[in-house]
Amino acid sequence: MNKKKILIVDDEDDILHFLELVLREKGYEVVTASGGHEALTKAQVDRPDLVLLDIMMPQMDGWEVLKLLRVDEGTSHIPVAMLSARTEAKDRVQGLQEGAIDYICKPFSLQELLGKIETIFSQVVDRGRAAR
Amino acid sequence: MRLRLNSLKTRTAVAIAAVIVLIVVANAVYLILTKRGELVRQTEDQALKFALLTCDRIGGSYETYDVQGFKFKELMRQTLALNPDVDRIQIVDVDGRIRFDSTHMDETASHSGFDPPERRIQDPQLLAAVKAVAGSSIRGHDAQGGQTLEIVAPYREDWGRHTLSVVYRVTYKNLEPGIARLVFVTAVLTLVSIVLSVLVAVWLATRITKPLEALTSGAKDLAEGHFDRRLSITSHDELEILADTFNHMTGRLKENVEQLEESNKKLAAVNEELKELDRMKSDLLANVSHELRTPLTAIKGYTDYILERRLGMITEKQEKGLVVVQRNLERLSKTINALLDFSRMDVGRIALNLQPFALGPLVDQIVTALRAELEKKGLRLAADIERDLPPVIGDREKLSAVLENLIINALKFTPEGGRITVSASRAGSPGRPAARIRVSDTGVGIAPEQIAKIFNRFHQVDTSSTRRFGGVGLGLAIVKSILEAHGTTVTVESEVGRGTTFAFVLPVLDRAEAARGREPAEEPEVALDDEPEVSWGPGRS
Repeated sequence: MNKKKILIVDDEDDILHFLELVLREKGYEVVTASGGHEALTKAQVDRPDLVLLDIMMPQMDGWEVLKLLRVDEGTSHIPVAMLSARTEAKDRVQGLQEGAIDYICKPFSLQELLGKIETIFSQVVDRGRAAR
Repeated sequence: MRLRLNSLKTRTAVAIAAVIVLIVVANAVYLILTKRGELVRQTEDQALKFALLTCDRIGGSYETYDVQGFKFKELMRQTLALNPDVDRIQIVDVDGRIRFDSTHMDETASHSGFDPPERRIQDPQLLAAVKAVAGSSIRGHDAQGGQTLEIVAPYREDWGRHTLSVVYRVTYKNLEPGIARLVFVTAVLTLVSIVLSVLVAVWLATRITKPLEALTSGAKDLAEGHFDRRLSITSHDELEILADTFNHMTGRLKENVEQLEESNKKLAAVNEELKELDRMKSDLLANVSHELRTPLTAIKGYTDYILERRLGMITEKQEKGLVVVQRNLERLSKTINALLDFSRMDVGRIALNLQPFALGPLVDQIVTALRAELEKKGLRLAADIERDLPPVIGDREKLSAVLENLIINALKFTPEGGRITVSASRAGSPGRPAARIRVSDTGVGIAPEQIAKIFNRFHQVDTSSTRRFGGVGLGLAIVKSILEAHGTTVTVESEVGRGTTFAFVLPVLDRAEAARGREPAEEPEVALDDEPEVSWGPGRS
């Protein structure tokens, strides 16, 4: 099985580096982006298997990135998990409605994050198998 | 000029008319009685004089002429014709024998030469009068029952011996036509007076009550808010003064109402400003919370990671320190969540997802979640939910927060070995089924002067309690906000040193009970969605 590639998008460098560290350690291939535009480019170029997307970012926020990812044919199949300090149910529901596969609230615990990522990949694999 | 029964005008008119009618009628009766008495007396006087004048001549004639003879009878007829009120003349001797009776004059004439059968006076009063030397008069009745007066006039012979009396009978028949005419004229006059008096009474009553009616309609207009209405009454009396006072009062009232409206507007503006400020404050609170969460994520992530030895081995001492860091991070994160929850509620943005749910399982769930903390403090928690309590209607997630906060509050303020009771029982009136839910503890209690303040944000009974009991003082404020959104309030009973009971009432879904209510439309007050919608409640993750 190939190494899964994860694109992490967050404007906070500390969080970006921490997630990169943890996910590399866990055996994933990691690409990072610290803004919306960069995220879109990297999604096009690197074709990740999962995007972890922060919502509150300057210039282009997570909602817009999510929308553009969904619109583009090359990236519309990539699962996106929202990663945000906005814990309101409204936001969580909006995320899921706009096509995010999960919504993870900050501050999250490490186990929670890793568990969720694993679950997402297993779901995607199932779906892939079912499609085949 | 409309008359309403029972109106002041009608009553005044009736009173005035009644007084006038009473006076007029009394006058008429008095007039008739007086006039009649006068006529009777006049008749009697005339008859008396007549008797005195004719008595001697009749007595003399009786002795001179033959009683049955033409001369005597002619004399008697002439005498009777002189006074039409005297209808009979008798000549009676002192023993009561009737020697002559004018009413039998004609029948005795046919038996000329024979004595008529002897007749006597029967009435003892009359007999006594006949025997007496002095004249007298006695009232009686004739054969038809009409009133009569018998005038007895003694006749003395020339040498003074009293042997005969002449008895005149006076009738009042001749008075009747006069009296009848009198009564008729008086009655007509009285009737005319009554009609006039009623007209005058109504006119007077109208005059008196017209200003009152104006006042009444003015007061009515005032009550309906027409403050520009002014009364113009020029009756030059107390009512005019009253109307002036009324106008003055209306003016003052208008000023006051205008001032009131003005200050209401100002208050509304201030209220809007306050709401805006409150909203800004809540927005700020929310933003601050977000800003606090982001660094927490990094701190928490690295701490967890290091504790999992992912960044190499750590010493036991380092681990202990990091555990403390981890525990305090947890606490900080909870506080931030509570702040955010509350800031959201505070702006009145609590949208409820109302549906019926059973209270029992919810209480069990909360008790299970808090078991560890309860055991740590050695507290007993008893749930006492009434059997067959119908499902309560509310937002399950938010009411769960209410119960959790109340129990945590009890837990904080109850010393070791204490007892916390969660109970629910039926309450409410017919047609409005409800359940009363209570959370009681045997804790330190709250002083009466503190009770009103405990629901304020960030309030704790004393500042030292923050250190002792922990928490930021948001729990009860959250409880209050959620219950107010449900249209109910939380009540507190407490005694210092004995314990505290928090209670609130929620509607329950009891269709049988609701149907027994006044109207079939009176289903539970809250609208129920069969398909529960997505809850917008606070995320309590």
